[in-house]
Amino acid sequence: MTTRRMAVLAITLLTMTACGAGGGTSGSSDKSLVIGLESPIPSLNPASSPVSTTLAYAYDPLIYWTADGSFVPDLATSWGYVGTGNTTFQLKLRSGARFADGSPLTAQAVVNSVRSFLKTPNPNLAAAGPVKSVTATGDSTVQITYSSAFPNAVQSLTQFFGAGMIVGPKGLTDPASLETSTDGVGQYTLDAADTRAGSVYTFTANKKYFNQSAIQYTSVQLRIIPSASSRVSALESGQVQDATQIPIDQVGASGTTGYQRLGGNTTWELLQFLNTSSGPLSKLAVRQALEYAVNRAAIVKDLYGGYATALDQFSPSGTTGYDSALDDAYGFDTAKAKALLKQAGYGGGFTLKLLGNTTTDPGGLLAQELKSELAAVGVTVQLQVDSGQMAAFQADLGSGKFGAALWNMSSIDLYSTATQTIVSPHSLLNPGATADAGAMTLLRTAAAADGSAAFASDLRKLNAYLTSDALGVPICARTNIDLVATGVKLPAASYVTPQANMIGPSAQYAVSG
Amino acid sequence: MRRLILRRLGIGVVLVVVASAVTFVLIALVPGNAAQTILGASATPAQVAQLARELGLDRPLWAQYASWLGHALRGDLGTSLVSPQPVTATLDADLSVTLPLTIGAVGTSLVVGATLGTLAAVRGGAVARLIDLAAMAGLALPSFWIGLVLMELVAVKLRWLPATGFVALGASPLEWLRSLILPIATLAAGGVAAVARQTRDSVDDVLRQEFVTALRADGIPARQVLLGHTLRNAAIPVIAVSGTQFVAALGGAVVIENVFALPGLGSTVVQAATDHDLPLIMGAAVYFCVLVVIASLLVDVAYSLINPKVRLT
Repeated sequence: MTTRRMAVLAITLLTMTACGAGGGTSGSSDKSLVIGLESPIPSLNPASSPVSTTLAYAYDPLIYWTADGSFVPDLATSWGYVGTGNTTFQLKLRSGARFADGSPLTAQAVVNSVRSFLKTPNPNLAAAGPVKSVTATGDSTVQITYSSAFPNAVQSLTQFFGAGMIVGPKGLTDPASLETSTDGVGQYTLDAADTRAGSVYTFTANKKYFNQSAIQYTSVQLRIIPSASSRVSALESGQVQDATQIPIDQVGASGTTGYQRLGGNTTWELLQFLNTSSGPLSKLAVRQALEYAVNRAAIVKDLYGGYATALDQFSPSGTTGYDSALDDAYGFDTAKAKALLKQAGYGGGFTLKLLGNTTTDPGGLLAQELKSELAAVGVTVQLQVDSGQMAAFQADLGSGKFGAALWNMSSIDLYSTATQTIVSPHSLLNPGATADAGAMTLLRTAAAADGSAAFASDLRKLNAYLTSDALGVPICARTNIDLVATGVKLPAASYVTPQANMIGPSAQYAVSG
Repeated sequence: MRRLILRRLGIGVVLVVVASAVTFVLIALVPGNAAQTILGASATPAQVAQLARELGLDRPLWAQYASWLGHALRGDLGTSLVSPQPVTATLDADLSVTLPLTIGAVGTSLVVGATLGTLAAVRGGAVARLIDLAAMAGLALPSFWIGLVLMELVAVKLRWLPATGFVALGASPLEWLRSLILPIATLAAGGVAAVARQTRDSVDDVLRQEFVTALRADGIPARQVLLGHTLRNAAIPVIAVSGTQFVAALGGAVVIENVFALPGLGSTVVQAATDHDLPLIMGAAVYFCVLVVIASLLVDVAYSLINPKVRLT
């Protein structure tokens, strides 16, 4: 190759690299925000999408759930149960709000949207509660009736569940259009030209939004970057300002020191007993022995690098049902564990078939750790760790072959946890449809609680019951970590909002800068 | 030549049908279904069974496959069960990422690999040993690691190229090219090494043959001997390697697309398999098969053009 050709090639390469130095999308100088997410958004329709919070840019919820756990008005200005028993719930809607299609927010529009949500198969259906009917009782009032007591109506209509994210009439008429455009009362609308499903979603500020002062950016872009190390590189190279869900081994990497670390407890680990009606686990002393056998502090330190909190109860701090009196309900005491096993007639130990999964326990590391800790008190764990398919894990749960299963809990109050995952018949970790009579009684009482204080009190009683009866071994609440560029101001993260609310009905609740 | 192409195409069609049937059976062997994915972990078995019925997932396997095949033969690969998008639209969009990525990687492998291999064969000595060493490293190092190192150096430290993402050709040809350089370089690393080693051995062999000695004895300039005679003969095995390189690049794209967050066929396959999204997995399998068949056909044609013996078989 001649010198001249080499020079031309060099100039071409330099031009190519210099033209876009900095990595593409501009940062906060033009008030745009770019967020790196791990997984694509399966659907942009709130009625179909399992991840409704990522749609909150374009769809305001009826009620907004803040990081401190309180509920503030959004599309609804007031709400509450009618009468006693928690079966009838009413909302009064905001006036003057309009959908992206230009039509006004009315009670009938809300009714139609909620009904559409209830007819569409989606993962948030259970969270919507046992809805019997949804009716407009006036131009701006909506009534939801439940077939049985449902104490979580407020939560179910927030940004965390699709039912409360209201879709406009045009979008409801043509649901397929919701995959390429948005039709909500939201601060942003989807920019289809700069969106590629599964890769990049761009939202631009909505000039029709009822509260312009709440809008912090001219555009928000969500980029799907599956690899955690690539998300960190995207942050370091200036492509994104917020790299979400960074594993702890990446958080400590050398390049991450200049960034804010936003962390809130997001999920908690539970070793749930699947059969307490026969065999060793039918004895309370045996179950309590396993509580004492687990060294939670060591797991937090060694396995999760300190980004977790030891947990002795069924409701972590910050969730409804938490009771500080149960913080040290068990602790780590192998001598006591052995004594309890001996007292129950299992001084020589027994064999426990444990089902783990790599979906929530990458590499099955926690399962392996539990195996070795239980071995120290004489319990031989036969471990099976399912990988990949959630359905395979569920099939094994229902097979009746396992005495216990390890699962990562994500519900944000004990009522949801109990009904959807551990207590109610046919819930995830109760596939045999057996019901613990004591827990079910407490759950029914909580469902009909009169007011939030009574509800919280009832859930604390349920928590105490589950903890003292040792129906499972809570292990630790884990922390979610986002790495965020300096200059970006973040609202607090909490158990309610582990990844921080990036958007809110007023500026104080949203990310800015 | 025409007979060769028709025969290869016929084999290709059979291959696509067989591969789709095998894929269908393999997916069916994996526990669970898309109904479970759509409804999530909190759904009851009854709810999952009801949705599975509505989606037709409770029908016998052969009936499901026959129905799919019937539609596929009419060009209808169905709609994704998880995101309500037509499968062909999704895969066509993915193809606009995966095709330039794999073609770019194979092209880079051929050009760079053949150049280095020829250089090693002609120069010998330290140059050859250095190229051999680099080729061994290219083969031994995992592509995702090479990708992460390139990303750290070129995108994070030097900020010359974007770390992640893809820009459509229509949106900005320059940004499109910039978004593909690092992924192509990463995906091509192993291919460059393989082609370089193959080329070196091949050129070595040809250079030792009597006709090359005769050409040299006739006073033909060394450059002309190399470019006009040696490389043409040495190219035959290299072209054969390029076919396998394309298939390897398609497989490697699954990893590279994940590392560089490229929305291609590989990313879609991984997500579809996780979601148990049968129509999308089947569609992707067909696309992959068709690409392999086309690549094999092109290699066969190129091979026959260079080696006339092939045209007679």
